[in-house]
Amino acid sequence: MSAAPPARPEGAVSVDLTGLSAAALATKTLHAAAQGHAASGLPVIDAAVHPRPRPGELHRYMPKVWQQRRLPAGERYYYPNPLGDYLKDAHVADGPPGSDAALTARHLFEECGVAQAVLAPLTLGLLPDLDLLAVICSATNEWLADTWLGPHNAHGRFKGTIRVAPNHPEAAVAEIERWAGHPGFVQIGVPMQSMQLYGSRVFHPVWEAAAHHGLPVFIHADAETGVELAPTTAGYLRHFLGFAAYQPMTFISHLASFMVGGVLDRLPRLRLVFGDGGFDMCAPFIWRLDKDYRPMRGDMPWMMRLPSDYIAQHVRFIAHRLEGPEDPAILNEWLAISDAAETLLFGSNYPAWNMLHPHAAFAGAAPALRRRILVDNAAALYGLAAAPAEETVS
Amino acid sequence: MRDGYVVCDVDALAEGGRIITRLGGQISVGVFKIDGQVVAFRNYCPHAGAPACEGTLGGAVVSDGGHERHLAHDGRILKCPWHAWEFLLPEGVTITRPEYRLMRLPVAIEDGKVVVGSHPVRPPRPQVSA
Ligand code: FES
Repeated sequence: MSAAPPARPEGAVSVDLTGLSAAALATKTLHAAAQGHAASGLPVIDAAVHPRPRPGELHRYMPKVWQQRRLPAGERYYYPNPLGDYLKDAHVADGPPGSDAALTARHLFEECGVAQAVLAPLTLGLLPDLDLLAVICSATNEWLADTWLGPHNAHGRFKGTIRVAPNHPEAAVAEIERWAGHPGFVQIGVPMQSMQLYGSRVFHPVWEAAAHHGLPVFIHADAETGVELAPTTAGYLRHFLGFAAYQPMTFISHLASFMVGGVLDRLPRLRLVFGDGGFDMCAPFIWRLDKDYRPMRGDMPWMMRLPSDYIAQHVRFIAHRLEGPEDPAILNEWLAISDAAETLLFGSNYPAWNMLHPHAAFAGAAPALRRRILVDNAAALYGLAAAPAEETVS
Repeated sequence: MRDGYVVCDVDALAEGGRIITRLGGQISVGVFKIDGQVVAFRNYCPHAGAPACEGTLGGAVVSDGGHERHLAHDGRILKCPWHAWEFLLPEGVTITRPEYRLMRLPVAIEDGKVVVGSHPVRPPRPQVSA
């Protein structure tokens, strides 16, 4: 008979089994992300910046009945990133990376030459309790309006994203109606992860509300709580490298679903923004869909156009650091084949460790094309004026 | 019609019927009677050159934009035998991109005979609603 385990000492409630913390692992700096490139001189619009509330901050915006609810940690614990998850410079003492509005403004507007930034807070990804997710989205929107789009936005350079829980369409539509008239919000945001493809009928009211208000739908990998389908259709890649490279295939799956589900035919004003890569996978996949569209279109008679015909009108991708050829000699050719002049937007993904720095982004592209990607495409999509580059944060 | 070829007696072509023949023993054509109108096309698909006029004649599955589907243009959709592009007759245009069309030939009824010319006509682009 074995001895009884020693009694747990009072107060010792949390043991960190994860080893090194993300803060200790983070070595990549903002300076390193620029890769030695000089400022572009363009009034860059950064279409993917991820602010986060400080600890406890979000709870203040939740109804009292929800305030005692413990929230999941998120942070993709099942695929730990060996380099930490955030830029070294973005770690702060009193909150998670991305929680300091003044620091973010300094990094982006002063050090990176960004003129305007579209803020897309994440919302802990999918949760099994969809009411909880809807509450988190609602609290996130109120928090953003009250802080980063409020007192922290005296410079007026922050724009916001209305977070909604698409698997709770009634709540999502209510949230869109609640904020659509707020001048700071320029799009709605949903997680990339989903238990159903986004062309499914169940989501239609959400897209309809977004299109009605002229708000693009921003789809971005979100917090990764593990309540989601396996990252590949054959299960789990073993390591973070494979996971990160493969993950944007989900965007392509959603895109195909939007098309064959007839969503783009029914909602001509709907704009989709795939916020976290996938641009490089799009063109080859669309070629595949185009090939047999005509003989098979009778299966989905609501889809009245060739798949490739929808892209320029409806679809934008945010550029990702992993994409495209290393060789500058073929960069422009690749961008031309992929129709980057119409469909690609710059987004840094700040404060993520793999931030695409605007100094380095498409530095080898033809100047007119680079301007479209870094400024004009986002300005047109969000109805923003392209601000002069020299303007500094006030 | 000058330079026309007699294809058949007009009575030989029933409503919804077709005749595939060669003008002067050379140019393969399909002659159709659709909605009482006799039309002729080169037997050559604009996609990849299949003998399109030999495809099946049926309807197209269309939608009003919701999730319902119904059959439209029944008996007027010619489906190419190679890759199933759907041509709406009598216009001869594909229903997905009307600018892709079969090459239409002039037809005249002379002395009870169907006469087909070998020089294509360009019909006005029709409005295709599905
Ligand atoms: S040859 Fe006619 S559809 Fe391809």
